[in-house]
Amino acid sequence: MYDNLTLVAMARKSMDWIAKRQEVLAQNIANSDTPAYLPSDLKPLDFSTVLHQTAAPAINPVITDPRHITPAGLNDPNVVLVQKKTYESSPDGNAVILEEQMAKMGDSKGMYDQVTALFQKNVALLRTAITGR
Amino acid sequence: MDDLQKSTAIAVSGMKAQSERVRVISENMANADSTAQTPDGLPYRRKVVTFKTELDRANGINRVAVNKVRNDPSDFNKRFDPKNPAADRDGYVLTPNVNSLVEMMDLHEAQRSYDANMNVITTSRGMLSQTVQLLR
Repeated sequence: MYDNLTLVAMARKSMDWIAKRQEVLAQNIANSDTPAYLPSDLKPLDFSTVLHQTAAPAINPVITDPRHITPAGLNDPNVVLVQKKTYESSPDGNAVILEEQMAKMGDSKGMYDQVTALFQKNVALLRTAITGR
Repeated sequence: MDDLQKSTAIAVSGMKAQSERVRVISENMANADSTAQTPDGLPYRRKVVTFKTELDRANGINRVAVNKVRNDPSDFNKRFDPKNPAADRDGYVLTPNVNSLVEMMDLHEAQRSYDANMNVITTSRGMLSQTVQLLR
């Protein structure tokens, strides 16, 4: 019902993105001592992409042949990229910097706070509209 | 599993791997003076832990796991102690290749990594409960 509200759809999109990012960052932190491990991160979420995706949902290819398969994550906006450029790497080839990862995680947390606050505000507005109080 | 639960699972695997590392470090520390019983025997050899990334197919996540606990091939230390039963003809005893300073550094590193993983869990849980709060 509320999916038609742009703000709800956008909130869901960015919450999905943050949750996915949290998973990727957790992976980096857990592997902070694994030899030859390169950290990854999600492709940054920018406003125009989200707006486009929300306003006009992605076009899905039609299956015209029973042998066609749909690739996993075809329209998944959350693209995981391996971080090729890193600040430094240890002698065993590991390039995870805990501080960097923690800072990213703090960023994500802040964004999540922001999104949930906005969502709550929006729900409060709706409530005001419904009850008139 | 949703993404936040997955990140908790990954952090838990990291904590498990780090605690295994702490176990091996404590083994090294405890055996820092374990010499051989006989002159031709070898003392305790230091052990090192290596990690690897492991794909958890059921959930589609990359966990971390202990790869192997290997022996440190470096040379043993020598100490002059002719009264020791393990002393050779010249009175020298081979002592383990454990350096307690190195072990302490390793222990601290393991602790930092453990803390970082713990932080991941705290943050993920906070976000999850925040989502639940939205229902109010």
